[in-house]
Amino acid sequence: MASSAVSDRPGRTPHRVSGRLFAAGSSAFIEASVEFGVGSVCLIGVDGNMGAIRSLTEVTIDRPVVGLPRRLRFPGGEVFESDDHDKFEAALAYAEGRSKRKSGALGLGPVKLIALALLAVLLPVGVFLAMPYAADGVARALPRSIDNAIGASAFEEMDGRLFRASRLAPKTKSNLNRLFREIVDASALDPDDVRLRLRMASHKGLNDNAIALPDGTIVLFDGLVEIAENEDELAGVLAHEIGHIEHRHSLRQAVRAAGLGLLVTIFVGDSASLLEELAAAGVFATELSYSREFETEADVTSARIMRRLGRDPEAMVLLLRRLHRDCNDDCEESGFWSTHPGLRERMESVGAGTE
Amino acid sequence: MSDLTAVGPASFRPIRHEFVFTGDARTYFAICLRTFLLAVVTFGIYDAWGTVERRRYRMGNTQVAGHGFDYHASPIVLLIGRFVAIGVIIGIQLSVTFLPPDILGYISPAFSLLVLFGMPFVVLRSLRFHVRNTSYRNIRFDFVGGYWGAFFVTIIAPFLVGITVGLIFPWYRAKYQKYIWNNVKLGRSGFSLEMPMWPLYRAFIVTAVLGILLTVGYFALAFPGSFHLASALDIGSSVQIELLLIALTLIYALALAAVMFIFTTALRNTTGRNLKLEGGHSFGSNVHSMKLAWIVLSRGLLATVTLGLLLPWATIQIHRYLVSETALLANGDLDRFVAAEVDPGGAAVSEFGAMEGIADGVFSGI
Ligand SMILES: [Zn+2]
Repeated sequence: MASSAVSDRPGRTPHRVSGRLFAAGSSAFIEASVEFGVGSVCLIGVDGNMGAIRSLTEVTIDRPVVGLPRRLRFPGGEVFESDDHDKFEAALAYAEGRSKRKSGALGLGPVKLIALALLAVLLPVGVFLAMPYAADGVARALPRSIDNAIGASAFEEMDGRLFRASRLAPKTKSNLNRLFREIVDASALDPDDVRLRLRMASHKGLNDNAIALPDGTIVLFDGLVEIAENEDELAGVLAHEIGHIEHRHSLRQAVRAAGLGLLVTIFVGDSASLLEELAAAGVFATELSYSREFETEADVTSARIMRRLGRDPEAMVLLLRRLHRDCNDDCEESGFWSTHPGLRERMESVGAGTE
Repeated sequence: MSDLTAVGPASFRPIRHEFVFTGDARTYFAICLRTFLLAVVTFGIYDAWGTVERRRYRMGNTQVAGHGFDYHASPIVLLIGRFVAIGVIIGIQLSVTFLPPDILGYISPAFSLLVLFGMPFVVLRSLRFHVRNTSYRNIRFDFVGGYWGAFFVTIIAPFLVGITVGLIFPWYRAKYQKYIWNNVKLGRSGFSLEMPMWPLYRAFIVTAVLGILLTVGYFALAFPGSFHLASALDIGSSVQIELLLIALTLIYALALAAVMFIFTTALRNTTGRNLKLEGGHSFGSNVHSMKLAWIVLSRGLLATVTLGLLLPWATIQIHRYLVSETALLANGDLDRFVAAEVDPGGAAVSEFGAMEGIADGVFSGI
């Protein structure tokens, strides 16, 4: 009897794995075994009859999942299934001429696992630290026309709706325009790239402020002019705003924010909701830190322009101190959630480089 | 006479096979840990493989009558789908940021129409992708639902629910279940589902009444009550009142969430008990709403406070409970299922599969 002959010599068939065979496209199955040779596999019926010897390249072997049956698909559509993982893996390793894979759900030794975990911590941190540089590179490669388009549409949005006409005296206005031209000439900006223009306006909430739009428009609000005690203070503010435009801060902030969003999507993904909340808070704090970085960059540019004109680079900070006199020491230090650096730090930024 | 009873309907008494989950949370946790770490170091690329492996573990260990389910989706296809989804999202964000408002004004209505008519397509393709990639005992499931059916249950029915202030919500959920199950096949054998409406409406009314009572109770206690309660307990400090309010709100939110399980459980049980599979097979579902609510809410809470570390464990616990309350009432043996067509695994088939996977990626991406 063939079947007894097979079971009589299990020692001589170490690469035989028992299991069940589904006929092609059927849910019915029979008991069967497969025997692996080097580079080949052969089906063996319960009666011991051997099927055709197949090359391993002809069959498909499903990727293993811990604890689940191993499956081998024959070209004719038959599927062999075995619950004997260890034997299947050993026989397959023999057939493929390699060593046995680590079993278990981790499938990794402790050294590899620790290395992997370490890499999984270091890599995102590294990428997170490197991202701003990459994003700035992307922003630099983009043409100035994008800045201009964003600025122009932003200006149209705000003009007339948010801004009211300036109530400054015509004399003051012409003085400010003259001052602005003086600063523009001292800046490093190429007039072919950006056309800088000053617009004076009044506004209820924003009144003691100035803003820079990426297309080169600088909006100076009446309140700031009224509180200023000398020309240098306003000159410093205008030079600071030109610094924002020169270093393309709006665009860089947008590209960095997009990069940050991408990193969060990649590394946090769709996990538990609390982690997403934390990630959102982290993104917000990081964007604020970028904002503070850009403010410092604009302050340094302002000081450079002011020094070139023989004006006082620290005057701007004195104006800001007067503006924020109510908040005393709170405005002196940078906070985790502040958009601008503290005034003490800004004084250092504009003072740096003075001989 | 005794012969008659023997050959009567009683002789076709179905064989009851309970669904069991044979996996364990420890192994699943290890799989999740490994696939997560590999996903992190490959910038998320490996997650396509991880997703397939995790799903295969869950499905393979979901067994009935001694056999588990298998999942055959190709990770590469999932990956392409995700890339397409990310591309679409980035494209939308860029156009919203950089396009001038007047051009955006023209594009956005067209885009809304695209979403309206594209959504059922994406839902349908995603569903079909998952169903077709699932098998039991060497037989693939199939999904044969059409576009307009999907359009009805994803666009028209929710709209009708809206204009009837939610009163036909049970009808809508039943319609959705019917759309799915009446289009699922195991090989050549089709599933069929008739949904009796009374169990759904009963559960819906109970859920709604309890939800309203809870809300009324919460507002009655929380607002005027917080001060009375504070003075009654003789606690003057506002911090304590704050804490009391937070505790009350938390209890309210949990109770409301638990109440919602009354309806979802009824929907699940009604679907399970009325589902038929060609060949005289039927199913049983006996999920207890409050038990499920307890398992989901307690495990979910633990998973959340551990920042997702216990999520694999929570997933398995919930899955195990749902599986354990499900049964197959088989008419005879399960050897007679036949594949719709013997899948040769040809290039055209995998191309087709790729399209579906992309639809799936877009769906899960948004
Ligand atoms: Zn600034």
